[in-house]
Amino acid sequence: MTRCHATALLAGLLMQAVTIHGQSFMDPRAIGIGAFTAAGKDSRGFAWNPASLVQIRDWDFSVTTYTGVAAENAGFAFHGLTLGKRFLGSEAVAVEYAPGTQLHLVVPPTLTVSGGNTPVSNDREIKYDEPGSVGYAHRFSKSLALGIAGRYRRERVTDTRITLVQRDSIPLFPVSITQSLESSTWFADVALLWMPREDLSVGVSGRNLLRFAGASLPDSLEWYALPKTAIASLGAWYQPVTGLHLAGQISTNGTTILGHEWSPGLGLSLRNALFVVRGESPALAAFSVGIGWSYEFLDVGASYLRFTNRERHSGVVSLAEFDAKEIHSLDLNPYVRDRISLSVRAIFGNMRESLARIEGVEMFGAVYPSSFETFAYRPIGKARIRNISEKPIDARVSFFVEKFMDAPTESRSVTLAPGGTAEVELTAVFNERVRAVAKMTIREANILVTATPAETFDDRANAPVLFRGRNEWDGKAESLRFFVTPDDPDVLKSSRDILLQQREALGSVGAGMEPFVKSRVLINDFSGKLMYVSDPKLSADYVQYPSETLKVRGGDCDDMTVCFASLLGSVGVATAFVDIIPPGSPGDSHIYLLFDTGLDARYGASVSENPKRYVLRKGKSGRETVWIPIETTVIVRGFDEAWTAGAQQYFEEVELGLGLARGWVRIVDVN
Amino acid sequence: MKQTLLFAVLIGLLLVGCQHPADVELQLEQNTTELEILPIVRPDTLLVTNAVDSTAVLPSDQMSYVGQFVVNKVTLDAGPGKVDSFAYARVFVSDSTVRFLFRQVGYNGIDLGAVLLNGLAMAKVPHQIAVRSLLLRDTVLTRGVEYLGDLSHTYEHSVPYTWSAPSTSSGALSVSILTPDRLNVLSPRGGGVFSREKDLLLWWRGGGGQLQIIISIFEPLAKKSIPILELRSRVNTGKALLPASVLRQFPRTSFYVFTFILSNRKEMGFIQAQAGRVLVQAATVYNSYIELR
Repeated sequence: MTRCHATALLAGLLMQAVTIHGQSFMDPRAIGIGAFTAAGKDSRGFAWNPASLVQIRDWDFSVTTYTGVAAENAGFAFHGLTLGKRFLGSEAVAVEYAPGTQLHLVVPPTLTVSGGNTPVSNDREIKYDEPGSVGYAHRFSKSLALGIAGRYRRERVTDTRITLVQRDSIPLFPVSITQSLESSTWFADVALLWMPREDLSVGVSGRNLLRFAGASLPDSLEWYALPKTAIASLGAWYQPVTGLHLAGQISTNGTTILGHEWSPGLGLSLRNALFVVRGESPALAAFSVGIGWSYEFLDVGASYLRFTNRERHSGVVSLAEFDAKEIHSLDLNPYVRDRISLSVRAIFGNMRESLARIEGVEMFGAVYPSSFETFAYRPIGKARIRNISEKPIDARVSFFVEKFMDAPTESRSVTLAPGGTAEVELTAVFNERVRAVAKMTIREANILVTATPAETFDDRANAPVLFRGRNEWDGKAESLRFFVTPDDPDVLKSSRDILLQQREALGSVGAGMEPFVKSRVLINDFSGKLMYVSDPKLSADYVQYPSETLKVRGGDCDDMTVCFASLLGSVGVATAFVDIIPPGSPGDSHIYLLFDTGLDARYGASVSENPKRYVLRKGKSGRETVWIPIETTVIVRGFDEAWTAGAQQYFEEVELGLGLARGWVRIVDVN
Repeated sequence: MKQTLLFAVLIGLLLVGCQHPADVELQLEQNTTELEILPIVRPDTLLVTNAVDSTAVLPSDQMSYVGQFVVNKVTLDAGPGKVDSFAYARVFVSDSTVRFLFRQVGYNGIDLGAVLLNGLAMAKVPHQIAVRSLLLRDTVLTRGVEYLGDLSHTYEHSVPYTWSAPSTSSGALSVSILTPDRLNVLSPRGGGVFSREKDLLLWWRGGGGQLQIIISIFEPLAKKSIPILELRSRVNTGKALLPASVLRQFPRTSFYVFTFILSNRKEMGFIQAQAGRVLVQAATVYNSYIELR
């Protein structure tokens, strides 16, 4: 059903409404909240809105009893029982046997015929009852459900009449005749329940929309017949803050009910309602208070309904003031008395209640194969979860992408109050398959929230995850370092081969100068073998792995920087990227290399008399050492020119331009 | 299993003590009492009088007693300006039946000698029996005596009245009875016109004793009343309802008299020519003459 259809049906129901709305009160929660059209959440009180049946879990069973509060009518009477069942996920049915949904009126006798041993009085009893109801509900979507219900009503009048007959020598002889007359009718109700948000439900119900009448009362007793007019109500159920629900309900001719339910925790619920009826005196016709307690599969409730017009609800009504047409509900009408109701509800079956719900998932960005390991500790996204139970829970969220993960990653446990929400960061431990992604790929991630012990999950959601190609780069210097592969066999072989060729020359170098000399040898050697070329993808977000650069013997500045960082790293030389994003022209961003000679800052003159040709900075060891800037774009001209160009660039951008201090130059350690 | 047991216990708690939901009483009229409705047996009118509106003794009682010591205060209410009242005492004791043309037509009144009521002599008058037949219309037979006393100006409520007859053939006789309270009927008032389609409120003031309401057809031309039903209040609350369903079954005649009788009664044995029991009665009688449509 589309939303348009639902709106049309809702409008139709409202147009049918012509009289005060009244419902069965066979549930303390319904009495306590009062405005129950949108507040139902199980089979209890489904007569208010059969669409609410879709919220029951599996088997749902409840029993209700009630008592009057005055001394003369105290004593518990069985009200009825309800059995509900959800099936096929979105369907639900319920039956209600309610012998206590009745109103028994007695017109006291005026005459008694004393014939024989058993005097017979001409009293009259009028009994209205609705002993049975059935309901069915269908959930069209997560937010919309439709319900229909049928109610069986009987109206029985037992009348003892005194007839005067003529006999020998007796002009009028009184004899009594008892007659019992009954009418029966099936009523059909239709209702909608719309749940646009987690904290809001709107319900509309139309009662008595269809009637299937059986026997009817004779015209002489029509005065006792109950009204059969169509009835409608519109209700809302809103949660402004965690643990508190407000309920409101109106009927088209002036009945207004306001109520609330507060769940402070420990399974407790406190309820209160006000019933305002136009035309009643006082207008606040009744109020109710209620309490509920739920524990695992049990739910116990109690309520007290008190009418403000004490005289009218005293249990004795003048026959002259009695009007059956005022009785739109057998449980709430001008003639019933204050009552206390008790109920017990139990849930059976396997369909458990979810304690937590995923309200939304946000992915922070794409997964770059070069840096996929970082998601083991860096969030790949976050999930917003809510405690939808009435007790505190500990919830965990897991994240899993099939094929690219060997097992789901699970978040830390988060404690949530009833109705509370939290944002949980998602991490992911990807496997090596990610590195083989050649081009951009989208995979579905499976996110689960688990709050119920021993259960797999309470709710699940899916979110698309974008995997970039293996050579794609996000343009950040921090990410570029993930392309540096000093342990790559090709890189290791290349650097070892060069150093082996220069073994004799290197043997005469002092230990302190070894990193510098090795770096110079490697750079000089590879400068003749590699060629600077522009990015084959014509974009800055494509980076070759060092093995690829060595294979194709060339690359752009990013590729060359990564490749030489890898070669130097393979022989134990620490490197760093100098990331330059010129202010005002970010398109001219550039990266070149620093490598650590390992020489103490005091011995900078060992590599150059000109201190502007080297950089003193602290490396991983925490010791200030001499670093050599290498401009990789001119590295094909040899070490010295690359050094000279790098040193000049560094001096201009860092020393003169204060790039580091102003933040447009950053040095990112590779290792 | 533990949960099932817990649930069973809770269900049991709810089911134990199941009672019927309390009734709602639709009160007809405040403080009305339930009336017992009784038929009135009408014996041969040659032997009894139907004038319960003045005698306050039902025809069946007239047949069952051999004599009556009666003191009655009677009010006749035929409407505003048509209210009259009187009080009288009557003593009649029969000793044998009177036959005329092979039919029993009445009783012979015993002469008890001088009969005093509260020390004042009652008038001894001939006991006359009116005989109606096809052959002799309105024939009056005189058989024995009866005693009458006019108390219209002396009658008092709630005081004892004592009859004494010092020289009867079986010895001296003395019997007392306490007169009942005052009785005033507020509904139906005499002269009123009431619908058979509505419950008729019976509303009186006068406590003590048992209240009877005798409903009689009234023939205004003959000024005769014919009792048809007797009502008795179970508790004298001063109000009762006669339902329309019963009124509708009354004969289609228009005029009725509702005779409210507040009485104190007792019996005493009497042995003379005809053994039996004698009714001793003090009654306050209020008659409302009404029209039913």
